[in-house]
Amino acid sequence: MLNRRGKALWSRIIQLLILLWSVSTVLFLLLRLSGDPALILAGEGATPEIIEAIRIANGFDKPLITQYFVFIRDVINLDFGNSLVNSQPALSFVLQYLPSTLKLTFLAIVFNTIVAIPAGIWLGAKPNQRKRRVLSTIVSVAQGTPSYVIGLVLIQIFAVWLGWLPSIANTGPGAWILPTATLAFALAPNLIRVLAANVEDTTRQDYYRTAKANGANPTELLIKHSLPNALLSATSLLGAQFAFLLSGALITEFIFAWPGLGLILVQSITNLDFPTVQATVFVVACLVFFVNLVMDQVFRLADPRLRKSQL
Amino acid sequence: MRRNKIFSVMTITAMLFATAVVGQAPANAAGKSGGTLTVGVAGLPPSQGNPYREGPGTPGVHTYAAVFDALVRVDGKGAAKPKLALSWKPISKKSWRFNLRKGVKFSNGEDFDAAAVKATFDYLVSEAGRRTVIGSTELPTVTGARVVNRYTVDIYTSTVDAILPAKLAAVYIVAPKAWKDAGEDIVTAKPVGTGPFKFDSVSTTRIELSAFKGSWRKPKVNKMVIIPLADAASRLQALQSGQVNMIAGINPDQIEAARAAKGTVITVPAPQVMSLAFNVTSGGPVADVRVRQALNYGVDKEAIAKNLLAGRGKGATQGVTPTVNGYNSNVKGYPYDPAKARQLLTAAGFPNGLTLDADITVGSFPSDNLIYQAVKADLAKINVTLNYTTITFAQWLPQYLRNTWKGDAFGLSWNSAPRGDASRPYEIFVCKSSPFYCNQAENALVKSAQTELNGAKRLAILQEVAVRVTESAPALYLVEQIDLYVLGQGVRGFSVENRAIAYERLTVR
Repeated sequence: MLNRRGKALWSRIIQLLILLWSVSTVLFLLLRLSGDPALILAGEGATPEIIEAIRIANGFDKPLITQYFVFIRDVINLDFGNSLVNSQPALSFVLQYLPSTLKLTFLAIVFNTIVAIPAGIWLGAKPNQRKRRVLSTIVSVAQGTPSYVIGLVLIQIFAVWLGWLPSIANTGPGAWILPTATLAFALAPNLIRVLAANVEDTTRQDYYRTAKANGANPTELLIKHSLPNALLSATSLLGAQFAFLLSGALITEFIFAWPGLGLILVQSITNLDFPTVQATVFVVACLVFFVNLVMDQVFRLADPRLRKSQL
Repeated sequence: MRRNKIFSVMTITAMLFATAVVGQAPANAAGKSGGTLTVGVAGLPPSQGNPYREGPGTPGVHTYAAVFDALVRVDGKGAAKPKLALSWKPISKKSWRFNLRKGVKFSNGEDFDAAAVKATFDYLVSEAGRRTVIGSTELPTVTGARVVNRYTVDIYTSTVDAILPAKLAAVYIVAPKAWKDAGEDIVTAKPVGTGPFKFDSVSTTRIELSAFKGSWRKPKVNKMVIIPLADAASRLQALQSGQVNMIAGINPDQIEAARAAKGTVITVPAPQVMSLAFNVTSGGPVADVRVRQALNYGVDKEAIAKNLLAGRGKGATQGVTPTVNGYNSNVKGYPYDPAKARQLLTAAGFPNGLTLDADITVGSFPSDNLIYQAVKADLAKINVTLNYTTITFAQWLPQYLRNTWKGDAFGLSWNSAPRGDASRPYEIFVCKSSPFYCNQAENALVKSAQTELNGAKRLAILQEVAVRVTESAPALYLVEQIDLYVLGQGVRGFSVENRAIAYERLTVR
C-alpha cells in the first residue's frame, strides 16, 4: 500500500510521462507540417532524385505512422537521432547548452527578484504618494519596452560609451551582466506591479486592519501581515517567469550571442533540423515540469492551507 | 526609517553589481596586440566544420575560407585562378587535368597531393556525397577523379563541362586520412584543411582557431575568433566597443555610425542580383512579356540603389553583375520610365493597372525589406498594387523547387557565386525542372554555353543569353547587391574575393 506521499509521487511521474508524450507527439506532427528537411539538405539546385535519396537516407520516405512509432521508440530510449546539419547526437548536443541557459535564467531571476521585491513593496505600501506614482508610471512604460530595445540600449551605454562591460558571451563573468540585466529589466516591471498591487490589496484586508487597530507598528504590519500574502502570488509569477526563461530568452540570446537553448531552437527550426528541435523541446518540457514541481513545494511551505492538500 | 532600509539594500546591491562590472571590463581592440583577430559575422555555418553540407556562400564561407582551400579561386572578373591547383586544361571532352601546388600541408601534417584530391571527389560522387549540397548542386556533372602522378589529377565529367575549373571553387579539399579515420561526422567538429587556421573549438556561439604556421597561406595573426551576431546592430556595437576587430555585414544606414566609430567601411560588389521573379508558367498577367517589361520600367532601380544602398550598389540591368563572366555591358535593362510602363500595361490589356501577389524572404540582403517597400511604392504609381507576403526560407524552398507558387511573383536572387559565371543563374533558372519560366531558344543557348570550351565563343554566347533573357524579363531585376565589411582601428591587409576573406593577410594592432 502506498501512502499518500507515494501516491502523489506516482501521480506526478504519470503527469510527466503524459506531458512528454503529448509534447513529443504534437511536435512530431507540427514539424512534419512545417516543411521537408530533405529540400534544405539538398540545396536549391538539387535534382528530384537526390532529394529522394536524402529522404530515404533519413527515413522521411516512410509512412508517417511508421516514422511516428520509430520516433516514439527512440524517444523512450532517449535517442533523438543525430542532428541533420552537424551530425552530432541531438540530445547531447542540446545538453551542452543547458548549463548556459540555466546560468542565465538563474542570474536573471535573482537580479529580477532583488530589484522587483523592494520596489514592489515600496510602491504598494503607499501607492498614492506622488513620487511613487512617478515610479509606477516608469514601471508601466518599462513593461511595454521590448527586451530587444533594452538590450541594445544597455550595450550602447555600458559597452560602447562607457566601455565597462563586454556584450558578447563567453568572455568571462563580466559578460553575464548585460544579458542578465536585460532580462531582469524586461521581467521586473511585471513583478513590481503584481507585488505592489498585492501589497496594496492586503492593506484593505480585515486581518490587516485588525492588526493595525491592535497597535502593530508599520514594519510589523508589512512583514507579518502584508508580505506573506503578497509574496505568495508574486511567487507564482516568478515561477512562470523562470519557466519562460528556460524555454529560451531568444532575443537576448541573439543580441549577446549567448549559447542558450533558445538560440539552438531557432537555428534548428530554420534548418528544419528535426532531431535537434525535438531534443530541445523535450529538455525544455522536462525543465518546466520540474520548475512547476518545485514551485508547488514552495507554495506548500509558504501557505499552511496547502499543506493539507496533496503533494 | 523603513524607507531608508529599503534604499540601503538597493544601493548595496547596485554597488555589488558595479564592483563586478568594473572588474570585468572588456578587452578592446587596442589591447589585442597579441595577435588575436576577432570577427563578428551574421552566422556560423550550421554544419560547423563540414564544408559540403551547405551552399558555398554565406554564412559558411566566412569560416571555411580560414580553414580550407579549393583547387581554384574565382577572381573579381569571373575568371578561374590558381589556388591549390596551379594550372589546368581539358584533355578530352569529358575530362580535365589539374597540376597541383607542391609542398602544401594539411594542418594535421598530411601532405596535399593528387590522392587527397581524389579522396575528396570520391566522397562527393559517392551516395553519401551526392546527398550534400556541394555534391548535388555544385558538381552534378562530375563523375570521379584519377591520380596521374603525385601532383597531377584528372577529373571526369558526365557531359562536356566548359567551366569545370570555376565550379571547383566551391569544393574545399579535406585531409584524406583525417576524413577516413575520423569520419565525416567527426570531422564536422574538427575539420582539417590547408588554410591558414585550424579549429581549436567550436560551439554555436563561437569558433576559436589558431594559426597553422605550416600553411602555404601562413597567417600573420596567432589566433582568430569568429563570433555570430545575427543582429546587424549588435555586430556594429561589438565593433564600436572594441570587442571585435572586424564585422561582415552591416546595413547601409549604419555606414555613418561605423565611420563615426573610426571604422573603415569596405563595399564589395556581390555577384548577386536581387529580383522579384515572375511565375510565368502559371499564367496570369505576368505571362505576358509586356506586363513583365512594364513592371521593370515602373521601378526606379537607380533611386533604390542610391537611397537604400547608400549609393554603393547599382540598379540591375540584367540577371548578372559586372563582376561575373558573361555580363553584357551593352544590355541597358529597363531604365525608369513610368510613362512607358503605363503604355505597355495598356497594350497588354491592363489600362487601369493590376494587382500582383508575391512571396518574399527578407534579411538575406542589405536593406531588402526597404527595397521591397520602395518597389511597392513605385509600382503603385503605375496603378500596380503589389501585395507581398514575407515567408521563411524553409517555406520558400519547396515552392521554388516544385513551382507551386500561388502568387504572381517571388523573391529570387540571381546568384553567380561561387563560380562567378553567368551560367549558374541561367542554368538554374531558365527551364529548370518545374520551371517558373522557360524559353526553349534561350535554353538551347545556355546549353551550348555549357559545352563550348573556347572561352571567347562561350562569352559571346553568354552575352547573347543576357540580351535575350533580359528582353524576356522573367524577373523584375532590382539591384546589384553589395557586401559591406567594417574594419576596426588597427586592422590592416583586408581583401576579399568571391566572399572569401584572405585571412592570412590580415594584421591587427
